[in-house]
Amino acid sequence: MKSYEMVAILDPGLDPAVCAEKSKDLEGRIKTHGGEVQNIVQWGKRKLAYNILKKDAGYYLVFNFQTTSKGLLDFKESIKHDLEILRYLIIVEPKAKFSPFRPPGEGDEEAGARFGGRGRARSFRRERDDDEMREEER
Amino acid sequence: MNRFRRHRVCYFCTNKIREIDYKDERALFDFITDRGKIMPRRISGTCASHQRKLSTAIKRARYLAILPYIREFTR
Repeated sequence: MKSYEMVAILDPGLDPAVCAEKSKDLEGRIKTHGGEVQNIVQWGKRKLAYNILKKDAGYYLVFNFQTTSKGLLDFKESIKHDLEILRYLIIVEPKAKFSPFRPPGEGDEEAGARFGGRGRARSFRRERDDDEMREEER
Repeated sequence: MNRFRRHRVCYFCTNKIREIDYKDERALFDFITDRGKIMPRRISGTCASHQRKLSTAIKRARYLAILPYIREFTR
């Protein structure tokens, strides 16, 4: 069994309740093919950097799971023709994490104009620096 | 700050970051140009091994529409 990470983008037209169901459905599918799900993170609705199937937003789901190579193939096959999943990526989970991902918070006003501006806040700086920068902007 | 100033040290080495997460959009954002291209090593100063990891991460992020393949140039 290997550890995998999957990011799936769901249709933005879906109801949030349907999305939650879909997440459970995917979890169930991993389990039926002999896998174990460790963690599911929902990022919520997010603007896409470019349109996929004429959609400009999507619900992002991140799964951490363990499964066999056979189970993974079967799982992929089972979600292949699912039209509610715009796109997905499964990778072997990296050993060390670069930084704990912060899901885009409510205070992320720049979410819409994410790719508009130039020289945006240096994300590698510590939170403290970010705060200082915000104050400078004011 | 001049974005294209030459840095002599690798950001990731100095901060002891071993793996680069393709989901961290804000982090990757600093290593792409205005046009959305991957910033070359000679400009960002990233070491070879981290540049390889970075490019993989950026390409994954592009596939998932976290980062754009190209960014429109707006005046």
